Amino acid sequence: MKEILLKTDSLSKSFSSGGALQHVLRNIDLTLYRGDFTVIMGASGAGKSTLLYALSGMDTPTLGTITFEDEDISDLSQDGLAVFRRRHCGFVFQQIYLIDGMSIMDNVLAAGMLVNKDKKALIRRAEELFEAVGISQETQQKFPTQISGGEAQRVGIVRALMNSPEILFADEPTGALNSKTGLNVLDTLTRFNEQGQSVVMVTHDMRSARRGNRILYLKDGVILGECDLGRYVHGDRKRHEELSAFLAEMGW
Amino acid sequence: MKSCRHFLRKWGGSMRRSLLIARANLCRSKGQTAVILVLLLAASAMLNLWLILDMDYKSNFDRCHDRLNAEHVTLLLNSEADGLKEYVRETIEKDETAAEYCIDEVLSMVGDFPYNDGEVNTDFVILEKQAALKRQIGRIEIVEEGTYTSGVYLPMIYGMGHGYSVGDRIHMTIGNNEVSYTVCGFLNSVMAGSHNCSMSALLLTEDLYQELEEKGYAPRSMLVSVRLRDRTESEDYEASLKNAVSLQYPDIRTLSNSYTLVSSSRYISQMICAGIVSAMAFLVMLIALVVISSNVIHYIQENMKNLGALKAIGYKSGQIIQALLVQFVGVTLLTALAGIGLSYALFPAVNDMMISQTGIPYKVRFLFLPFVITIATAGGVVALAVWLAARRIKKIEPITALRQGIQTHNFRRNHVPLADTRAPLSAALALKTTLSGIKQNVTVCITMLVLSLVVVFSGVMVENMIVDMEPFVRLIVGETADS
Ligand SMILES: Nc1ncnc2c1ncn2[C@@H]1O[C@H](COP(=O)(O)OP(=O)(O)OP(=O)(O)O)[C@@H](O)[C@H]1O
Ligand SMILES: [Mg+2]
Repeated sequence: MKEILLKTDSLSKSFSSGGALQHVLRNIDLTLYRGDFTVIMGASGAGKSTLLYALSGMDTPTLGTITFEDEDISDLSQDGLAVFRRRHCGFVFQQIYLIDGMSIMDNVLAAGMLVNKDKKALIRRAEELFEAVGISQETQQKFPTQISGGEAQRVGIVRALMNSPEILFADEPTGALNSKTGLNVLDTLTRFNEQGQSVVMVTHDMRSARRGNRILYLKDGVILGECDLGRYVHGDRKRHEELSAFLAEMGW
Repeated sequence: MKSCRHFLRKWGGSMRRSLLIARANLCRSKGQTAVILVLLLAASAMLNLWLILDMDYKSNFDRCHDRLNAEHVTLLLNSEADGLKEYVRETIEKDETAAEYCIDEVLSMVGDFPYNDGEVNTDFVILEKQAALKRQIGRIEIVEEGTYTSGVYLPMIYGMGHGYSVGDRIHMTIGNNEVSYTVCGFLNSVMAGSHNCSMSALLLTEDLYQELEEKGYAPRSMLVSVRLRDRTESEDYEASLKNAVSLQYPDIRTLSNSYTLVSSSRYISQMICAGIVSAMAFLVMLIALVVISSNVIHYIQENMKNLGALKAIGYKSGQIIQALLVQFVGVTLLTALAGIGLSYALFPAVNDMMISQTGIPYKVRFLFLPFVITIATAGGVVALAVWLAARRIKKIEPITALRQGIQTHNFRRNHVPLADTRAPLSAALALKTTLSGIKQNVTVCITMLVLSLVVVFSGVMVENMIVDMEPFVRLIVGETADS
């Protein structure tokens, strides 16, 4: 029996643009479990990012509730959400969004210092993570504009993991990378997941989606279907076929 | 104790976070920071200067007045008529208003001497040096002296700048007669220390005093000096005393002044100067605030993504605003310190010019209250400006900010759409950038305009006030006390 980490109850999100109301998420009931590598797929504009932002407390839902470990986060204030994010969520963006004026190390420390006062411990944690994702000492002293896209995305992952979040959210983390560096980032995420880190990842790409053990398909703001692939094993052909079949069924 | 330590740790942590962000900001805008630094430096230097002038320079008169036990009302009676002295004595003693008084024999006459390309024309009150130094009331002090044993001591105002020096010969007219003396030194007299007091004290060494008395160029007179219980009554008392004398002795020429008159007329130029310095300080401070506010607003617009990223990783709006505050207030406090240093470096020069107007010595010393007020004002005002400009950070939602800030970026209109324009590409692009930065450009224009106004204004002021105060004072207050 899996432990429930996050649960939504008829989660809806609408945007008003030009007077017209656009319902992007419609009554989503979703449960996320601890230790899972959940993948969310769907066509462009289906509402994947919007869902991820709502789940991670970046944005507030229009209707419905989100419960994280028994705490209702759907009507927290801006500041309340900020505190929620720093404690429980790590977020990896497609465009990474490191802070320009800070060195790589400072970028990571800026996140850590929100929760932990012990600077030495923070630096130790950062160095561990940097080593795990393969960012050298030298690179740590550079600035965001001086590193490659693949390096930047791995720094993004380190920053997201600094405070040991319960869930790591990743919105198309390999979208801006070429296939080799993308693979590297995926391996990193897979490795952390194998060590027990819960991951929720949005992707367009089957090769990335294969890494997850649970695939959700989002269409027009509704979860159309889901598929349980089991733990990722490298080079598993059957897994690939299973996923292809599921996506075909969903109309991918 | 424990909670105190907890607070300090918490504070230290938030400080460190703020500094991390602040450092990143400072590195990004060196040019703007430099402009802000210069403005704040000038503003705090002028603010401190003004506070010194306003809070201490004026009270220097009272300190001097107390030190020399100076009188509140001076009455010079140009006569030795029978019974006059007794009559004055009776009149003063009859009244409770006077606390103490003294009556001295002096010589007095209208006269003039050359000074600074023109001439000083005033009533001379001529005292014998030793007697003057021993006066109980209205003591006169020597502020500079040579080794000459025979000659005249002038009010120190005539020794400032291009005035006389010890050892010079001074040719003066006393009544209708010419005399010539060696300048032995300079004196400080509170109530008769310059032509602004309506009478100028001169000290003669004993030999010359006797010689002048014998020649009869300046008739014997009585100098009545009265200290009052309440100095605010000085003008009324002056009038009533003068009135009493002229009732009984209508033919006697009298000359008088009062604490109220002298204290204001000897400081009129300082008060005007302080007013101008304060006006300029506030003006420059205002410009600094406009620049800081626009800098902060600009920063927010330019760094929308960074702000979004900070929020996304869990920074509260307050923490980001705090970082901006730490950055600006920190820089401001350091600059204000430097500005205060600058004001003390400039003060001796200003002081010399002031003394040449007031004729009263003033020692430059460090003043704590103006220091605190300058630091607090600069810091507080900058903090307020930053806070007002940075408040909008609260409205930024992380996702909107990361998506280029749809809400606050409504000024980002698409000027000169390339699809419709017929202008050549380079012209269209130039127009685009100019128009999209229009707010910035306008701020820069206004700033430059006000700054150049301040520079021109202060240039004219210095020319008028310090170099030649007299026409300016007349312009503003009309003829003052130099009858
Ligand atoms: N802040 C907003 N204001 C108005 N409409 C929005 C806003 N954010 C998202 N939308 C709309 O919501 C819909 C879903 O957007 P979302 O970014 O969630 O899609 P997505 O599934 O992530 O697509 P993609 O795969 O292209 O990233 C889109 O039609 C978009 O126009
Ligand atoms: Mg998306």
